[in-house]
Amino acid sequence: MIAATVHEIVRKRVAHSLPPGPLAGELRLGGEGLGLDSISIAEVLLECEQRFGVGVTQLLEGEPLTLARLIEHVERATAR
Amino acid sequence: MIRRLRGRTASLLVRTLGFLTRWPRLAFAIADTLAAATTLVRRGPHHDALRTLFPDLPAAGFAAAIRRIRVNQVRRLLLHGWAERAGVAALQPLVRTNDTVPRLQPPLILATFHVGPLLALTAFAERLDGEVLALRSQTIGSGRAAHVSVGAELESEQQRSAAFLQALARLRRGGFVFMAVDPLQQSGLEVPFLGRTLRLARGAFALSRMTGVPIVPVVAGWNGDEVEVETGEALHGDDERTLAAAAAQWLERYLTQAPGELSHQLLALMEDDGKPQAGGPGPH
Repeated sequence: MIAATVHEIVRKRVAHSLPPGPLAGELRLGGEGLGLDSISIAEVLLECEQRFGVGVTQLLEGEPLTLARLIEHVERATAR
Repeated sequence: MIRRLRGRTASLLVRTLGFLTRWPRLAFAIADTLAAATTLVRRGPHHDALRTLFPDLPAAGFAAAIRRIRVNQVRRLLLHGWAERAGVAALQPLVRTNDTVPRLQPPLILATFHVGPLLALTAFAERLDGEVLALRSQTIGSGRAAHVSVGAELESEQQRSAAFLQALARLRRGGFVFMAVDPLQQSGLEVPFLGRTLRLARGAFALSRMTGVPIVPVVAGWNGDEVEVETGEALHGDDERTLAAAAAQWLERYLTQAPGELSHQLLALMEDDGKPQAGGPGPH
């Protein structure tokens, strides 16, 4: 459920067309992954915070932000 | 080889004139004389660009603009030298803000461009009445004032996202966000500008769209031996591209009045596709 919602949040901001179905978890949100620019990445995180009621912006620190990392973080935070 | 020699000459000049922080007029007189002399012996890359961008500029205006561009280059080095030697405080006496500062009430996005003495905007930022976050320009936040802070590093996409979120938070808390909108990287909103295309970073315009906070264009320019800060009317709107085009239009009007403020940095950021934009070449 969480994964599907995150996919939907990301999909609507990706400029180029994506194949239907779930997105690969290892895809980075920016650059050579899904190609989101810095503002779109920020918007994805803000919408995730709003939809799930958990903080996610700390994911911008450290290792590259992938779809899997975002979903995992939201799942863990909402399970607490 | 020649470029290295030029670089060494410039740094020697800055070091030498750096001792004259207490006598800025004397330093400017020396710097301006040297700049004018180099204008006579060497054409810069701005020569042809200026002719293309301002085809209607009369000969006297053209010569004055060419001189001004070179003088600005040397003065820019001088200001950096002074700020390194004595801190940004050394620039404060040079900066005139007139009645600009009281009119700027937060929350507000201040958008600047790579024209004129950008470093002088540090002094301007320190006079603002409210918390200021300087973004996309380490220069603007390089002073020591406690109410002016510098946003996150801007090297990677993630760092830029973090900086964007910092700016959003600052605006929502009722502060100022100060940023250069002509980006040094390749992405951004393409807008018509002086018959060419200029790419502006989305940041300021996205912040305005998301918060409803207006954008005020700001640039610093020389008036004699003082720096004057010029601001435009506040730009409102919820469409990023329209806001970006309005900001570029404001800069175009400013440069049409003062073509000598055109900088090498800005020229490098303008895309020369050889094809004039709709509306014809040059200012209109």
